[in-house]
Amino acid sequence: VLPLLGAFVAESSIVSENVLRDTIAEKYNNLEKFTESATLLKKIKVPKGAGGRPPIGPPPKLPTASEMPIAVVIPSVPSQGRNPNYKTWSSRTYKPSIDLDTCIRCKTCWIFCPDGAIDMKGDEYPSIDYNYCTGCGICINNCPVGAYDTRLEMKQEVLT
Amino acid sequence: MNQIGARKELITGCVSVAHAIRLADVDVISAYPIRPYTGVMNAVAEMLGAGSFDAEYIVADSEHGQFEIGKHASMVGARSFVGSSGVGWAYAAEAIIITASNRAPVVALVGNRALDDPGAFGTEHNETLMTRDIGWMFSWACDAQEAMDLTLLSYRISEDPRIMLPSAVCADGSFTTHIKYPVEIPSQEQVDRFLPPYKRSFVLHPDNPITVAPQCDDKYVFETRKQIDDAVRKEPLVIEEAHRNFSKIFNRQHDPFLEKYFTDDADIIFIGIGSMALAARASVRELRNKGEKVGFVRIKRFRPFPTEELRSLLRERRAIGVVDVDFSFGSPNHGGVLYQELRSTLYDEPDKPPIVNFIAGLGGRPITLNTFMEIADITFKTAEKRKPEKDVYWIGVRA
Repeated sequence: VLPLLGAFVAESSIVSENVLRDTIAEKYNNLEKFTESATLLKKIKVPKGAGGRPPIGPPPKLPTASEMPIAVVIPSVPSQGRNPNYKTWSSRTYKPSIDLDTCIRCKTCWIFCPDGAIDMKGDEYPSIDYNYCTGCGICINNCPVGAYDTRLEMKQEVLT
Repeated sequence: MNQIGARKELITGCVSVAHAIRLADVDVISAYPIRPYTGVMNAVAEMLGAGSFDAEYIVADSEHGQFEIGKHASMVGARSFVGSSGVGWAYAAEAIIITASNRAPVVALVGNRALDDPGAFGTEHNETLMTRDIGWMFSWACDAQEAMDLTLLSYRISEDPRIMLPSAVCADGSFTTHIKYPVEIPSQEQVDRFLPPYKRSFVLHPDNPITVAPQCDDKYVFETRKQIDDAVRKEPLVIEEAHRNFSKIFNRQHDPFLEKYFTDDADIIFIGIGSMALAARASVRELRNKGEKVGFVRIKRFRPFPTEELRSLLRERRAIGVVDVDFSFGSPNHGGVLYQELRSTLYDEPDKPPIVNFIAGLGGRPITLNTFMEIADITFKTAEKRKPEKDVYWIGVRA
């Protein structure tokens, strides 16, 4: 427990390290393990925020009723672009992936993708923008060489 | 001076609305037959056939398709006209709702007709009133002249950049739509002066691709409702402006919200909507001859509801008799829709008069002088006792 506690103190600012240090010295008379991990963790630079991800900023400022154009009119996304405010990945349960060794670059998937989530410029291999892929599987069904594979992205566990 | 070029003809309400469509130079007319609205569709088809004006005339597959066509035409910047009656209006309800939320200033004629079943052609106001909450404006004509004037006014008000919401001109089935009245048909020059061309700031066009009304989550839906609320609050001002301008150009006076018939010194006031005004006026004249101080108020616009006008007109009267040509089963006191609106309007008044409700003329049963005499008797008793004996009376029904 004591090394874990040391790591916890180093990472968070909920409890002051000194207060805990005094308590541990008084009760357990064993500060060695605690200090060791606390010092070690302080040396590693961990960015703030959960899981080491960059900090979450304030929520984006949304337009007020008078700022919004009437009838929810939105300008079209420029050619070759995608709507940065409306990503459609959240309904996906199956995630397609491409085997580039099998792919013949025929553009069939690029034509059939109903969400325009596949990028394919010139002679390049297709790549999927997973922010917009809904996992519908149309690319898998239409691939003439079976270069597409799919795997279950979310696993539901039934509690018994 | 303004009358130059205007002419007078004996025509039905449907034909007079068709004349308004011709004069407003409507671009797209989407039609699907249902009586009594069909009268307009026929008259417009005849005018187009005779080359009186030019427009795209689309007969839809159903009322739902019809209202969708009208809405889409409006979105690409075309002035469009639609219309229906009874169950047709109900079938188009989905398209009717999005016409308002897409801010398409379509104008529709509703030939008020009883909802099926049983199938009937007579007047009832329920089909219109069930769409009262979605942002459409509803005005009610009581004769052919008013049907024409309100159609012209509706285009002007709806297409105002401050509003951009659709309008329905309601006309009682057969009584207003199919009875001939002498109607003054204005000249094209007059209408052109009154009605500016329709301009839309967000036009659907391939040169400037836009998405209108996409699927969006709670981050935006609430704000779009507020936008419509903001526009609706501006409607009374725009309506008054349009009416002032109308009377200048066409030399006809119109109170924008209420027809007040002998109301100045009236102790007792009857209130109703639509063609019943003819019987109401006759009964008011007869009762005045007998020395009774009665008056009649016809509500010409149901949305926006003339709340302030009615408050100042009705406070401190001895009794109010509300005549509903509609029903609202299970509503407070089991009264009609207009009754509920009026009670709510007068709730904050310290000296509110007693209100008694009459359900009359359902299914097109004529509201006659005798109907109004019966209504008057009960309203007088209500005034004497300072409260209604019964809240709601069904008049002229075999009960």
